[in-house]
Amino acid sequence: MSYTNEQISHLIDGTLDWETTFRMLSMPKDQSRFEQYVDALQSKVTFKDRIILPLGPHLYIVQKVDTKQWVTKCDCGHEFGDYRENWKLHAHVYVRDTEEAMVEVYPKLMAPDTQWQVYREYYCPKCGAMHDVEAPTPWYPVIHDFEPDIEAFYRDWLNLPVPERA
Amino acid sequence: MNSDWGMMGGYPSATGYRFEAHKTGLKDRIAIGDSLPLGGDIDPTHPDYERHLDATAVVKRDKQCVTTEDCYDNYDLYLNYLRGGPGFGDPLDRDPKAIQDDLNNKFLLPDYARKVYGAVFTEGADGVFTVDVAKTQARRGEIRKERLARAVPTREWMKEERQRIINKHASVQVQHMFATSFGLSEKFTKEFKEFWDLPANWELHEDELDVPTYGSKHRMDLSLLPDVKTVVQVEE
Repeated sequence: MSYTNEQISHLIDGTLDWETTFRMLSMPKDQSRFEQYVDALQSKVTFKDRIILPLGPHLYIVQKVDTKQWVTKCDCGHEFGDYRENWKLHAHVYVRDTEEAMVEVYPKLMAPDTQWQVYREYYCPKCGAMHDVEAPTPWYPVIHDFEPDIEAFYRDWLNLPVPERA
Repeated sequence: MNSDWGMMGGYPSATGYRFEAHKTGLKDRIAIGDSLPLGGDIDPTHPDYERHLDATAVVKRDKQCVTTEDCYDNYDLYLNYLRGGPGFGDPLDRDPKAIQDDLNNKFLLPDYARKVYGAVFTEGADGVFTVDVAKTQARRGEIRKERLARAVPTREWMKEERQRIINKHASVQVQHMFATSFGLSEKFTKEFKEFWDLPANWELHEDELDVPTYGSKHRMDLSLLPDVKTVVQVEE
């Protein structure tokens, strides 16, 4: 099964009809899906750096167009440093650790006791996009969500040449 | 507690809570056709059930989601509420039309459509909500600025959190969780101390917390029993 670039673009925007979405979900992935998906993402961002791997709706690992370094980047253009580092350490954080702060986002009784569990919101320092929310106990280290082996992914899973890296 | 984290900027699900009422007077209220606590206890910030119970009612609302053995009479009222799943992506990305549908289907409290999703809307005389797309977009821009105004660089926040750890400032339950985890895993202890750059002599032990727990003093790994053979994973 293969899909058009237009369908993949709709998939990303959340506007693909449910029947097609469901068929996509239930069928094995076609070979060209990753390239189509990344191409569609690339056409939606304003920067020139090549997207190597999407990390979230507004967050990507990109190959910098000038230096070929791989960095984590927000779609607003802000860079969070080397792709192997935890981007959250270069973000801004707001911690909901009081009942008042929780009531801003949940009705009473519907959020945890902040003595036991807090919500940490990680924002892009430039555009304020919320890239992640953690819900750990106090003291828990900042979590490094995802440490992808990009070389193996391109080489062994996608059968694509590994992008150049400085 | 909540184990349903959101993903990629989505909030965790709401936690559940428990409602119970005794001496409700419901038997007589039903008999005389008085008002009754009906529906889904829509907004626990502004509780409504209590207005439809007798003044004698003994009501408990708390965050304890599990009720073990407990005594109930006929016409007592009990509700254990779990609702909503975790989110995916920044709530400010949610399609205004979807928010409007949620409001009109009563899936979403108007206050939270404003505060969480940044929706700007009106409610007509017929009770129908209409979301203003342009105003919503503008409001979302303001919310992004408000976020940055209240946030700090993660590494700045880490300095404060580190100091709280050094001072052992956390609820005893949280400290107990860490103390027992440290007791089970040197690897975790090492990673924890490295992450927070704690002094080499910083330690936290279960016995300094004065929390009596079953098995805290005499603990033996099952694998130490004579007939037990542990499974070795292939990678090991």
